[in-house]
Amino acid sequence: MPDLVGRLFERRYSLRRRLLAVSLGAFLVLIALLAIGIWTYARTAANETYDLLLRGAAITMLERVTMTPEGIAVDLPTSAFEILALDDRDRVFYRVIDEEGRTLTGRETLPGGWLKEGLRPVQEPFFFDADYSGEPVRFVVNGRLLPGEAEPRWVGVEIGHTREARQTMQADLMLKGIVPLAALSLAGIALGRAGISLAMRPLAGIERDIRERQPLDLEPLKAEPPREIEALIAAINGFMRRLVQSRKQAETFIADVAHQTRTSLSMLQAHLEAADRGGQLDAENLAKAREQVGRTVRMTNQLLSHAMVIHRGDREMFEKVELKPLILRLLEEIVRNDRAERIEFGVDLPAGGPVPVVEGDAIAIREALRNLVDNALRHGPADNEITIGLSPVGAGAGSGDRPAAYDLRVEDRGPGVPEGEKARVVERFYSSGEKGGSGVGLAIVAAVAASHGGRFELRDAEPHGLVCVMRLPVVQSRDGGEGRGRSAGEGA
Amino acid sequence: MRILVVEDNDDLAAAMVERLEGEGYAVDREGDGAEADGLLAHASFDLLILDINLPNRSGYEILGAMRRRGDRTPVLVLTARSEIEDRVIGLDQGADDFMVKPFDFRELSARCRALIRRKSGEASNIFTQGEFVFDRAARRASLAGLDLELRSREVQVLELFLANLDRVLTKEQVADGIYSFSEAPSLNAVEQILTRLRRKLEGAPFHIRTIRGLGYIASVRDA
Repeated sequence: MPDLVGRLFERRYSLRRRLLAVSLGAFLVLIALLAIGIWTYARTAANETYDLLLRGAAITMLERVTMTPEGIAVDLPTSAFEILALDDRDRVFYRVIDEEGRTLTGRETLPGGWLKEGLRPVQEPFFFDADYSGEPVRFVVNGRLLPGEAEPRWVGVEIGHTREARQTMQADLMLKGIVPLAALSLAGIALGRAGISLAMRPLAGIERDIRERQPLDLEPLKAEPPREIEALIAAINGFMRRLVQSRKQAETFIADVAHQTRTSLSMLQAHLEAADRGGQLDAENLAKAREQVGRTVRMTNQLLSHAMVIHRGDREMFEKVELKPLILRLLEEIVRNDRAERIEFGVDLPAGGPVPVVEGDAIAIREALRNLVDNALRHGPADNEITIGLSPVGAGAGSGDRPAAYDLRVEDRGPGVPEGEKARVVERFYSSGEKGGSGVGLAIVAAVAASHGGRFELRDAEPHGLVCVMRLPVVQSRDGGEGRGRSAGEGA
Repeated sequence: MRILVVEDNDDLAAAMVERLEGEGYAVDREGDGAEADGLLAHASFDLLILDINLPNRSGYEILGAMRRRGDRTPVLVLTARSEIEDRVIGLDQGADDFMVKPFDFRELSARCRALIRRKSGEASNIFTQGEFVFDRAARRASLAGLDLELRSREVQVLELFLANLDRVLTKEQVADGIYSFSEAPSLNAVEQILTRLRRKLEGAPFHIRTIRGLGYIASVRDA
């Protein structure tokens, strides 16, 4: 049994099993209480019935006790005992006693404790239980006053009756009560089981719905949910909707990548074929092919970088990122790769205040910043001025306190972006100007800003040029996980 | 000059070996991480070109083991875009330079020359790049055989930049590097020294670029 109980609770949480166990337990308690009630009732009923008979027998006997001149005469009636001899196995013991406790007739050995207590009942008998001749016996004592010579004299009878008949009756009553009760309980448990199964049926239906689905079928669950699991179904359906959205994004992304890659490679092939025409290598077309390789490489890198940034939009990867070293290391790399050395680089860092740190993904932030600088390099003039700026914003900015956010800024003296196009250049694969790149760079920046709970915007520089601002909050809000994920998706 | 190329892609390795041999280097190639590690423990090279994603042992492990042995051979790490991590970017693992695949082979040659030059310069006290020669011991720089007649402060600045090629140096760092505690460092003075030094270095393949609002980055360029 303990093993069974152990198994019942060690196994994984099962609603059906719990409901069954609880209803079974409740039934057992109920049956036990009812059984105690029935038992008490049966005992009382049997006692009362046979006590009445005992009392009748005592009265009948007392009626036959008369006072004669010779003393008290007892003429025992057989009828008195016939009443009691209903059960063959039962035995009856009696004695007649006078006021002094002398046994006039019958068994002297019957229990006489009541005599010593001075009990001399008249009309109203009393009953007691005692063991006699090795078995439990129910006794009755009653008496009457006989008119004597001088004054009335008390005479009593004590009758004992074994309990066989009582117990038979009690058992009979008990049985008649318990059997229907047991039947009712069994029916109750069966109905309970059926009810639980019925209540569980919607769950099984939902399970079947999900199990039998095609892997790509992300339609919402059609099952009409019971009120209790409505929220669960709504959550599952919400999750499915997000899956659908994310899959659509992935499909679009793959389609775009396929298109861009094919286009780029076709152009490369065309340049190479043109260079090969006539059997001798054509330097001009070869140079074009090389340029095309460069573009393809850059585009592939940006697409991968974009995929990585989206993929890394995961809060677990966030850590404290020091922005100053990040800017300096990036600057070193860019300057090292800038062979022409005609571009003037500048940095605008906050002079004092706390060390600029944000919670985020250093690699993603770095990729975003690098894309902004790459954009400025590609679209700007050969003697461009490019400034990487960092400034605190929000509460605490300007004082010694920690600000709410930092603006990472890349400013150039290029042609800028016309007001009408500012919103579009952030979209993936939208590229402007004849030096247009892959069209992924700014989409990456927007995605990084969104995944950090910040934002990205383009402004005009004075007198001309573009200012790209990526705002990064210093602390990531802990509760906005879902919203953050969504905005990252939109940024893509 | 001996170069070891550790790269598991046969085509890419063959192309690199061909290119570097064409430039007059003695090139060995290894495709397995564990074997490369074993080889490096016994043989010495002037430059190691190291891929990160290798069979049996990663480039990081090889690099870490080398540096623990005290092996200061310059290492140029090759990495695919998806493997970019802070430690590569920060060159924390002891790499001297890194390139992201796919890369331009002309760029690879230039980086190799720069790394080998840096190492030989440190070893011999004489830094040579094209017609530019700087003799640390004599504290003299010359271009095409002509003494540039650098003053003491200018030599100090030049030394500082040569020791920090391709690294950002703030004006404060430059001032700290050339002034003692007893002297009052003046940022204006630093600017004047740099202006003079730049004028004297005109035509040399050694450039000091100003980063507005921050400081300077020095680099050497092929002629």
